[in-house]
Amino acid sequence: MKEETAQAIVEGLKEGGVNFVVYMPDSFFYDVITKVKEDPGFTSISVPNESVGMCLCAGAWLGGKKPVMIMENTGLFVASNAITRFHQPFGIPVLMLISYRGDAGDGWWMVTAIGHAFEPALKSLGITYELVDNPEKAKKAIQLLQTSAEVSEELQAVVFRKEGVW
Amino acid sequence: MVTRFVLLERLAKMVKDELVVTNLKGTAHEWHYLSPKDSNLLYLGMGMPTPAALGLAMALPHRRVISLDGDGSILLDLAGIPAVGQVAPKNLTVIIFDNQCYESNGALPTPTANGTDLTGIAKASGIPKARTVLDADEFEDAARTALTTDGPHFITAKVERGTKKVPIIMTYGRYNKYVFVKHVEKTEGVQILRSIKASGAGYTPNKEYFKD
Repeated sequence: MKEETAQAIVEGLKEGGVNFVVYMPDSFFYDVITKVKEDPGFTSISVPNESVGMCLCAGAWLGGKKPVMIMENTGLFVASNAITRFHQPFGIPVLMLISYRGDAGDGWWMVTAIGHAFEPALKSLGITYELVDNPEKAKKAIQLLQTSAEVSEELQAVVFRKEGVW
Repeated sequence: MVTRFVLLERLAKMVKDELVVTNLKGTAHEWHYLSPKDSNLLYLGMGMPTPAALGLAMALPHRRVISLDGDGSILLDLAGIPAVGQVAPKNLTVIIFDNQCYESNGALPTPTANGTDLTGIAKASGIPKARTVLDADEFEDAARTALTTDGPHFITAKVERGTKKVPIIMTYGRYNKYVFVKHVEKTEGVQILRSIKASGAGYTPNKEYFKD
């Protein structure tokens, strides 16, 4: 990841009031995760899968934290059970930062199917999302979607495209 | 063996201001009947109560949190157990009511009927204060210890099949959430729900709701 992207993401989280970071280790977000772990302004935890992570975020929100879930888009499918049986029926707001594997320009055979399924899955799960392809847009999108997640009590996702920010 | 209802009766007498997250169906109905409090978050789907309780415990480290989970539920996503072991929150108690079957949809066996040891999994996942209990007195002792000493605690309670016939109060998830969150806001002195006015996003649709 570009240093300016990692910095913009961390600044966006801080300015959005996020203070609880749950992450499934992901190569795209490695620099962000490293910065977050070193920053005392965040409580952070690594999880074994994204479903556990999303439930953990939900519990943290219910206890007064402002959570974010950081993950690769593959994890959306792992988390979909929790999303449809917990976050949506209860109305639990969580901001998600998602790397877009299988995006145009990726091309690795292992992730092309995820690329095809990802955006339709976001739409079918009712998750409002914003595609970002530059650091400045990333920062603004994080702040905006964090606020709208809280107000709407729904899930919102900032999706990081291959080009511009990787 | 003993029924889950008998164990929940014992637990209900001990619970004060703890936040309680429950599994769905029988556990939720029985607990709501025995302990109808605003501090209950009921009816979480399989695999979800324990990681949600972990998030609550991390957010409110001074407040005791209890997960009332089941063997079928925790087996759906065992990853919740090492997540608890990794964080090791002192204020979290996980209670698994292990009836060795998926009771609510016909009672076909879970792997615990064939020897899967949830307490062993918990211990191997970094939760040394894990124990299996077989009767009501053992359960009461384990629960009292869990609610009065540092955790995390993990209790596998072996129970008979069967759900007590109690009035089924079908709570609605969003309503339950608002009651629970307002309780947390009131008892913790924090604001969780965010008004649209506060966000600067336009208008406040229901000022009465947000005023307290």
